[in-house]
Amino acid sequence: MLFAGAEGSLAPAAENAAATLPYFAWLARQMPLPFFHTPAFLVFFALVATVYWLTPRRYVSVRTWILVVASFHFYAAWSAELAFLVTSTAIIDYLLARGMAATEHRHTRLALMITSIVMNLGILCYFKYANFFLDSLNAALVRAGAGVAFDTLKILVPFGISFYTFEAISYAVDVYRKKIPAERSLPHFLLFILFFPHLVSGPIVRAGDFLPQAHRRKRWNWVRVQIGVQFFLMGAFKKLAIADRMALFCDPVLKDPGAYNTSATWLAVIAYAIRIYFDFSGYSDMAVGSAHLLGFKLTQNFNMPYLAANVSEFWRRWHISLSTWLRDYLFIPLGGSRGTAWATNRNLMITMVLGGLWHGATWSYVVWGAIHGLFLVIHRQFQSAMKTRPQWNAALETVPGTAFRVGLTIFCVGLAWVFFRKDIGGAFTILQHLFTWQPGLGPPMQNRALWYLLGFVALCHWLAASGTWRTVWPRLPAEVQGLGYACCLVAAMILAPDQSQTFIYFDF
Amino acid sequence: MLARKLQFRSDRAVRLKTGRSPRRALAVGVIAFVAATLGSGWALERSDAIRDPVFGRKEQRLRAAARSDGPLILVLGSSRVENGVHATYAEAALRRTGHRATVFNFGTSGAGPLTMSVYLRRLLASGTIPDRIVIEVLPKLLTDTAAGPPELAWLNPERFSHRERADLIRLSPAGTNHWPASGGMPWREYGNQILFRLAPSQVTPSVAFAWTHPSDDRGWSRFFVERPTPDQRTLWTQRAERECRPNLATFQPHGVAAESFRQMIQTCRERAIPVHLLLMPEGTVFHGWYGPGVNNELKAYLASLPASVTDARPWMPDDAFADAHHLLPGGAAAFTDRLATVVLRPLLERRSP
Repeated sequence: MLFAGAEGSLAPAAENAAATLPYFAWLARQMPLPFFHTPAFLVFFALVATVYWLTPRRYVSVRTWILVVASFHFYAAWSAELAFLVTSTAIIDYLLARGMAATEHRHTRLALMITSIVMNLGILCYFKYANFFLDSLNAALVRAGAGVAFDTLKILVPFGISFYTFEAISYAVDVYRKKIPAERSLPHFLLFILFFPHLVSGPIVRAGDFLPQAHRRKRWNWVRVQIGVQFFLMGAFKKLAIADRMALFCDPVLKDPGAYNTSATWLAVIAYAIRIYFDFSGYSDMAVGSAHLLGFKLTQNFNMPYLAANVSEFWRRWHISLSTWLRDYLFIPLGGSRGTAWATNRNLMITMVLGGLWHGATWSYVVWGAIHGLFLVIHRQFQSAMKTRPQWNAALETVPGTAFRVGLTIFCVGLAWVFFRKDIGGAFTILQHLFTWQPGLGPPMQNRALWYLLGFVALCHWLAASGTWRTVWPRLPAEVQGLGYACCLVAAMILAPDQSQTFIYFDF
Repeated sequence: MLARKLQFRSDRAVRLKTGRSPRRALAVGVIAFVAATLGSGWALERSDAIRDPVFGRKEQRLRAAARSDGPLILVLGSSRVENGVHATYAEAALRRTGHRATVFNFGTSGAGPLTMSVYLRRLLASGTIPDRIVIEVLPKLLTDTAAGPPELAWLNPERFSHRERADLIRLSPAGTNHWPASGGMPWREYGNQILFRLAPSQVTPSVAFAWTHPSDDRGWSRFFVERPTPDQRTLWTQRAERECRPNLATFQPHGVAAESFRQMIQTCRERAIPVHLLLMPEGTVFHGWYGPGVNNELKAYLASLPASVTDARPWMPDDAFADAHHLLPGGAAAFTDRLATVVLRPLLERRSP
């Protein structure tokens, strides 16, 4: 295997009903998990890229169909039924948008947009939130003494559902608002939804960014290939060498928080904060790199969020495609910051709570979203208060002041990550172990190992944030750059733990 | 100023820039990666000490010990030998009877006939030729099951080179390959071993513990508890029963395990190294785990082998064990004293075959 054998939390493809069809059963055996860091994906990608680039560039439609068929197979290898479901809903979205384009009648257009939104949200709610609502209802009934009333559904949640439904909704809204024209070509629209680099875990692409690229004739470009390879290698390094390694420090503690002492819990929380960032940004980098290798440019999803000096800035740097989506399609339609302070704060809370729920169908994600909403409200109030105190503002803008703000933001965000898990009771146990002295087991790994990795992460951030990397790297001789790629890959493979972890964001 | 600069820079989206010769950079990257992979694969295939840190540490100590005067007696075996044969005591006991020899305990955790045969071959190939060899007999590991040699249940195949694995596979009468496929990618396959050399703190504690298991200059490892509590004894004995009893119900030595064992003895005979087989002490509870007739079959099997045998299973009282088959430090001292008198001294006096 090129990389570690990924142990996914997703149901094995072979157990799905569609795998009973011989072709899909064979496909499932070839690529059981849709992870970019598996050898099966690399073989699949090499095959697709070869066929794609060998097709003459004047045949734009043929190239598009190649990517659509490849993307369908990428999904169908995991679940054929759900691949058909995603494709069918995408076709319906395409037709509804075409319907909007065909009429100028406002109410018809509105009805068509609402139909698209309801269909996408309905599918999202059914697959992702039905059991959450049923469980919550049952719990409430039990508390009221009525006993359990509803059986939970046995549903396989389609991976990436949260991402592609948001893409489809934003498309319907943008077409309705006439921000973009409705796409005429079905294969191009299918590619927008199904394009495999962003299909399962984003970034959440906008039709206005993607569709013009899909129509463009693409030439083979070595610079672009190099950029793609750089992104992919950087993503693989982030995932295997940092995120998966951090899992060794935090996973045992987070699985059984009551068993570990206070210092082990603090280290685990720090490691988890690093892990979740490198896991998701590593995945995003691999997605961006894969897309570049096929001639597409996806939006970058992260911009060193742990250098943010406040929570508001953190959300401009963290999961940028989601935060901008929530801003454009939820916060602003709710009224944004145009109303009173109370209305703005209410809109912030609603946006962040729903943003939390988007991440997962449990109350802990809701709490996590609410905490971030509260942080944003507090920051907003603080900013208002600072307007009348310019000397305080100036003090906070100094080097120690900025360092303090960055540190405080990391502290707040890091503590909030405690709730970024499925078990809310466990989150409170962790908080108890953080803030009261508790005996128990020590850290699962040597402390020194964590500090070395943190030092490395800090150095990389400094190189990137100070601009040193951007200045030095392009001026290095090609031979040195090539050696750098080889070293990056070798280091990622050596540092990857025996059992590589699944991507955290695949759960969403 | 710095803060503003930092904020200003970090507000921009990170852009990866490339050099002026992307083709050359990518080509160099591919060539460097392939070259490094092939080079490291070749180096790791040849370096037993890096690939197999347990062997590396033992071998290093054995080389140092082998410089001493007198013939070298090597005791090969599992963790039972590792904890039970206090080689320094054995040397002292032999000295008291006027014999000068270096005794080295080459027992390693989890070693059975496969590991022992590989280790013996490595030692002979590296020029460390013992004058006498005592080999532990592990009845529970001599019968291949449907899943292959029982030793594979805990044996990490990474410890062996590809050539060693191929040699072991050839011994399988059915010709089946019970060995997990190796990736052919040394960075993944030997990632822990490389990290252990370069950044030991990054190796998981369980792996690091197995590789840095403390032992003295003659290879003896003290059992980690001096006097276990009754609860600990019960717990460990129950675990031993789970691990050992299923493989002791019957005894029909065959397959890779038995063939490796036979070849080991054969190799010693070809090299004219006197070899002695040893059944290590076991508690009375352990005796009860042998299936009916197994003892007779075992005796018959051992009698068929071209080597002398000592059955030390009943030698030690129950309180000498931690878990009915691993000797505590006190038990190890007493057992070694008797081993030196009953086995090692006659072995030293024996001529080469």
